[in-house]
Amino acid sequence: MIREEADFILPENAYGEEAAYTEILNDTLCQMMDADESVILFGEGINDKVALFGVTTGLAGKYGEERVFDVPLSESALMGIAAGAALEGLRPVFFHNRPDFILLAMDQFANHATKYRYMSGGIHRVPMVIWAAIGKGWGAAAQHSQSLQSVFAHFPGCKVVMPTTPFDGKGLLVSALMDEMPVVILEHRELLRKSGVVPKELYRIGMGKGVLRRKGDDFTVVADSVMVDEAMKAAGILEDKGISVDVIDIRSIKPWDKEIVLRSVKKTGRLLVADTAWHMCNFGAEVIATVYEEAFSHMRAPAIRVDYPDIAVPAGWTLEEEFYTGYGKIVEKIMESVKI
Amino acid sequence: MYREMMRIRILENRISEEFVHQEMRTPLHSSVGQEAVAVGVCMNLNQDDVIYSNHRGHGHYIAKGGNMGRLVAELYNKSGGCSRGWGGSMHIMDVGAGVGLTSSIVGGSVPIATGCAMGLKIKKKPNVAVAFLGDGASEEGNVYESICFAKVRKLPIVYVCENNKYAMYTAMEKREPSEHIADKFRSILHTEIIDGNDVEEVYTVMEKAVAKARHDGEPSFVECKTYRLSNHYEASYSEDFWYRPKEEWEEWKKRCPIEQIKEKILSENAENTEKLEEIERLVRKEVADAFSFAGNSPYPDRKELYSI
Repeated sequence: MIREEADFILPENAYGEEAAYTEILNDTLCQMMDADESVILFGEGINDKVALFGVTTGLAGKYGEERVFDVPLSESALMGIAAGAALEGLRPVFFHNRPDFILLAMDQFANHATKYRYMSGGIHRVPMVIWAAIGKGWGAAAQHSQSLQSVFAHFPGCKVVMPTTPFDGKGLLVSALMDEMPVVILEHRELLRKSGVVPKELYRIGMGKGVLRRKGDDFTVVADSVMVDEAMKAAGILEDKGISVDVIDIRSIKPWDKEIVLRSVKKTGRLLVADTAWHMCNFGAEVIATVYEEAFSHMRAPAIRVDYPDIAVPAGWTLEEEFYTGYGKIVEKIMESVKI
Repeated sequence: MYREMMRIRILENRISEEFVHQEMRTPLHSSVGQEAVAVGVCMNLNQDDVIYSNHRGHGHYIAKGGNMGRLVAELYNKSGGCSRGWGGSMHIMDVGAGVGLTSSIVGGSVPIATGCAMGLKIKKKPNVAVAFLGDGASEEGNVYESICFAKVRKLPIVYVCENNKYAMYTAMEKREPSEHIADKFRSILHTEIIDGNDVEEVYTVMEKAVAKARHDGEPSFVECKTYRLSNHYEASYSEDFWYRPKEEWEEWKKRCPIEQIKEKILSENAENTEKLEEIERLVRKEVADAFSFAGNSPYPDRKELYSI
């Protein structure tokens, strides 16, 4: 039986032994593959020593190369192959080390996988999962570091999630594997280094459900991916300055939890969105536009975005440090706003 | 074979005739002239085998057993259409008949067909997939990637290339290093180059290719030389001979796949004339019924836009 997130009240009440995030994902895949034999996994390097940071270690040995297999460097066709297999009743998970490589497969993602449900008049279902981990730092540079959530989220017919904790990583992976649409899971390399305690049994987290990570009355901060940790750090600093902050981990980009954001903004009247993407057309802009559309009268100050400048990520660490905004900028912007 | 080809020919011709009324609001790509490929291939397939086709897909759909009335209704954007009015001419399907949803991104359905073959194999079904593609599609990277993958994973699939010499209005010579598309894939998998206007040759070669796919997991690439006697699609600028020589068209008209098989049938026995006429009469009735079905089908409720 698959339980719901709410069964555990708070993730902190989870029980079990502490394990690495990647081990937890590995274990979740095993549980899902045991429960549903239509689940298959493939991706470049899935069975090598690195095994996608350990997420797929040992799975080929356990389930055989028919269900867990390495593939040629053909991202584009493989995205369509995943869709074709999904139409035939399988639930494929197509792994990428980095989201940057999904751009090679955008025709099959945007023109095909996400469209088949519509073009078939609602008859087809395309239950497939696309998994990738965003890179950051150590000279990852322009092509190994991109946060492409708003690119994927733009297309009707898909879902996009960005888990930030092992608990959410497991619950959202289970949900993704039970969904009837293509779901893009964007993990973050930095977050995958975490560890945590999660329930052993399967549970799911509803798509489009954000979570309040910290409670406050003065400011609403909505964040995704690694920006959640930055926002939490900023909230700690701001508390010392007498400003209390609601930190919302949005978790799911498409669909996204409008209600949790509107509820908070109606209380605080102030909003900052911290997004791991570039400034232009990002998810933060979507959140702010929606808040202005639906809760304008509650706003007491202009909304703020903290995100990345419209520049490709540089390799060198000094330039890189300048590029990656984080908690410092969040604190600065909130202090400025409160002074007004 | 004659009957199946006539079903496609008469349907396509009727579609072209009706198109002028502008009631079918969808880009229509006629497959007149290429019927032998669709029929010769699909006659080797069972109901549970699956085909994936492209923008020029009416013939494949019909040959594989897709419901004709629902196809015509789809062209009229009706709710009784095979894709409930969402697909139009370029996105047709019939799950029960093994017709996968067609793609209008050239070469786009080839990876989907390949994934379908992988699904059939993993689910241990005794079925095969067929990917129809044109000469233009063979220039897309997706096709190369798919074919390599199918060979490596031993997938039950046949890639059927209808080489009709033109990608829209651009001739082969301007696009291809060789006159044979199959040359590009010869080092990867088993290839055949055949006369796509000879339905019996298509049938015989495909029989072997399908058997290899079904029993040995050995994919093939079959290049069928054919020609579209129709235009690229139903539009005024698509007519006449500004992009291809009239003599070439006339030459291929003489090699019309239906005329060829008709001649053969009659040369075997002149008394078959009546039988052929009877077939034609029944097919015309079937096509007329399909148009009536479409005419009687309502448009989708506008609120259905939000239903998917």
